[in-house]
Amino acid sequence: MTLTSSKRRRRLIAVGTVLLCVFAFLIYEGLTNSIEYFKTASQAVSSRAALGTSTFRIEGTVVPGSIHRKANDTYFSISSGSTEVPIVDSGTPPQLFQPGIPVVLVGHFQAGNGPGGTSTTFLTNEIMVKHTSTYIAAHPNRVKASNGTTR
Amino acid sequence: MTFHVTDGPVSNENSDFYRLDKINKALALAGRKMWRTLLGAVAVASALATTVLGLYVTPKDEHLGNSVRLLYVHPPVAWAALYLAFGLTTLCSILYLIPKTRSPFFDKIAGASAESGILFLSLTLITGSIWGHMTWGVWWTWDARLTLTAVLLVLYLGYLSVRKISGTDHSKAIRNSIAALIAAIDVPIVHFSVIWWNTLHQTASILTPNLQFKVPPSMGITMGIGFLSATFAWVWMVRVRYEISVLEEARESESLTTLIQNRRMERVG
Repeated sequence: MTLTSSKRRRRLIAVGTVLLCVFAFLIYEGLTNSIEYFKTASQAVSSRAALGTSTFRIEGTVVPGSIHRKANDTYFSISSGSTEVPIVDSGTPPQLFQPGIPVVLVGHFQAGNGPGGTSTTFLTNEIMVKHTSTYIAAHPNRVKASNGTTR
Repeated sequence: MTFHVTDGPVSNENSDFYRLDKINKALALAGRKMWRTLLGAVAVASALATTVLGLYVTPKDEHLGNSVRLLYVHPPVAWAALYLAFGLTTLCSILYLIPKTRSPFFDKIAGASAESGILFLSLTLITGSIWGHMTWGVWWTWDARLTLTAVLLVLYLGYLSVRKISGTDHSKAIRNSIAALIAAIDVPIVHFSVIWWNTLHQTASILTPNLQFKVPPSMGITMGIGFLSATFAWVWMVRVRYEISVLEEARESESLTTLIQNRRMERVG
């Protein structure tokens, strides 16, 4: 079967459009479903049973006043909404790690039971500081709040 | 592409004078040199201004400290890559595909713009990686924004290799234009990735949906000059690269003419 050039062109455009749509759909779906970068602390706690002790990224704000160090570990809590998750970090926190900032942690929930059912303590050795898109000029005389934050 | 084989005196057509004249004519077609120099000068001046303001005038950030100074480099180069360079490549490719506006000029500009885009996108990834190391604590992470930006670089490298595939000028330009449109799909996805998905990368500071300005004035002004600098540097690069492609074409047609002339001389001799 021979096609005229205009028919061939129309077919090419049709096939091309379908391919483009499939490509765009794949990128969108692939990213939405498999590359979910992190779960917020409250999302993680509500799907605690399904997550088990598998490794994932958790996000939340470092609760001011919760940081303390014992041996080589750093203990603190992160919060999202009304949910608080206790954290044990066995790595070295990055330079900008401080109370009141959002962080993303790589790790897993502690196995076994904690107070009040399955433990929601999260074990990590990698902390990433999630900076917001707000910039504040440093001021040498800025007063620090009693809980250590500078807002 | 058009070239003419004339039956005039052979020695004349091979002379240096003839060659220079041809190159000059090609350059005249590409536009006046003065504008190019002026563009380059403005780009350099604004880059210097950004450097001085960024390093000595603007304050440290409360949390980021000195690393906030990358704010005057990273967003401007990303702007030049994604929106200016790949934007112009897309626009010119569409203009070539529409029969009414079709011109080899658009194909050349599309290629020139994509090449500068690759440079700016590489700078975006490099400065972003340095900044990530200083603020997040990691050089690289596979979040949606970073992953898709890496994909974007590969897509446009692919576009540049498609441009090298041989064919007639018209079939090449059609192929280039379609490839450019495929690569362009990723640009809006990169832009909205920080809104659509959870990412470590922050959302926009300047181009926020409600146009809120979330930086102090002196930082904002320096950032603005940084944007100008990247913009002028990009325009300069596209212009110079376009002139080079005009020269390349002129040389190609000239060497073909020379070959034909040489053959003719062989026969006579």
